Amino acid sequence: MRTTSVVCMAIVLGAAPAWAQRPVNERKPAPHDGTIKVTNLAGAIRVTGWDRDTVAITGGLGEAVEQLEFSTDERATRIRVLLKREYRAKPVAGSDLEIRVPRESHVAVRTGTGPITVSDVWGAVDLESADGEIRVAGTPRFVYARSVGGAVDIQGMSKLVRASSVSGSVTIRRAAGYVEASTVSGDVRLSGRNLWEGEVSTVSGDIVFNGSFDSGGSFSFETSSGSVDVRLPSSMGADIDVVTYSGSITNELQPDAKPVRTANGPRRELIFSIAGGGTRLAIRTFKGAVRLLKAETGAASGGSRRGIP
Amino acid sequence: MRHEEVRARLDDYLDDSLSPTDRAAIEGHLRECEACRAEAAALAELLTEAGRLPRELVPPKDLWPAIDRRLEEPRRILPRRWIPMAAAAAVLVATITTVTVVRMTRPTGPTGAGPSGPVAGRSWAATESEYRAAVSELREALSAVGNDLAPETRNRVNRSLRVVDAAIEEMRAALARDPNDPALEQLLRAAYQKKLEVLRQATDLAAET
Repeated sequence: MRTTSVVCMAIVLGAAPAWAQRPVNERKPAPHDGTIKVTNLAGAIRVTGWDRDTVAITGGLGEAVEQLEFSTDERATRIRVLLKREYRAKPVAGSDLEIRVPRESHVAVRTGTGPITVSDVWGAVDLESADGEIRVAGTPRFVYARSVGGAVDIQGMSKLVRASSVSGSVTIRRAAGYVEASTVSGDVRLSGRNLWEGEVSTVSGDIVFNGSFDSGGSFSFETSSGSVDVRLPSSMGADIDVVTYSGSITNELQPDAKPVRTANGPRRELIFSIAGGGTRLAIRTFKGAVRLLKAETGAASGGSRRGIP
Repeated sequence: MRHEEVRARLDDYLDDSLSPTDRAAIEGHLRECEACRAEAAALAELLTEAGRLPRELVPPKDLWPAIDRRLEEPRRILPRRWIPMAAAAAVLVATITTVTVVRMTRPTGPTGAGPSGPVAGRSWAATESEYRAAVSELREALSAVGNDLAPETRNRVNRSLRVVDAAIEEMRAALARDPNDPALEQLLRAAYQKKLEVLRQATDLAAET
């Protein structure tokens, strides 16, 4: 049975300073592995898992808020910060909320300008922000995160990560499993072990990978004008295929293997295998430089950039 | 119900978390609309795939005490209804443009580095024409709702589109010099795809606002 609580915020404009927030402190029982959906167009959302079957909201509501909707039933909890119509798509003092959720919850959050931080949640997380940064820490089962202008930073061991930003950077640390990372102009930094499959792409942003793959997997790196640095353990079996139209190729993994021209134009291609082959790596750039480098011992999971030119 | 409303609620629909009235409205729309039906089918398929993902986690023990606690618990299979709604959202995002783009990303002609031929040339031209049509449609959709985006978001989107356009023009010029270069065609496809993604993301955000 659904229970709904709507807190109407009758705030008179001008009655408080623009930065004032009305305090919130509410909680409701929730299923231990239910779905939490949060929408907040202005302000920050921090979601943290805890060991209680309760959803708790604390923080403050900005002056532009018409109402805070907080409803729950046996399957889902919905939290929406609704702005007065005249404030939508305008810069307003935001509502910053901290939300505690049962650790096994699945969490979906949408924000406009504010950052999203999710930690210690074990279910799937689905996060989207127009201009806010997105940070995820812990081991969600699945991470889907995208922002237009904010950076995306994911640190965990999810088996499936899809992360994108239009102009911000994307950083994924301790990745494992399937990974997709995409930007237009931001850089992508990816590190992890036992990756199975995935793709990293940018238009002008640089790509830095430092890690290893499960044997038999496949991974692609693709950019127009960004550079691509791929750092692998020399003991890892891989079949590597690099094509660049006019970029340079540096190969420290197997210096004997040299790029060759394969067409009348400036296009160059480098195909070789290391340690008997295995994982298929495809790297494509239009004019970005490609550097294939040896990983330093212990660097794979930490994302160290030491030694990268 | 409008297409956008239906697509925005497909995850809830498949998650069985809609009220009977909303569910009936969406089912009514799906009976009439082939495109939305296709999106719902693709979404359901991805959810099934997501459900097949391996569940085990084998993290380094020294890094994640919280995971250790979890690993000590008996593993259990999630009920179907808890298959990640995030996967649903991901597919939703993908499928909004997939219907248009799938045809375009399929190889449409010889992709080897062999001599250029009229068939291969026409194939890329046809593919590019479809991309341009899709871009045009999304631009139109965005212009209808774009004022609902915050000004800084609009500016970021426009700047990024200019970056993509510059890359596309450079690669088109290169392709004109080296027709039928498969790597160039692949990179051009990727750039168009990126442009579609940016436009669609901006349109979705504006619609949600």
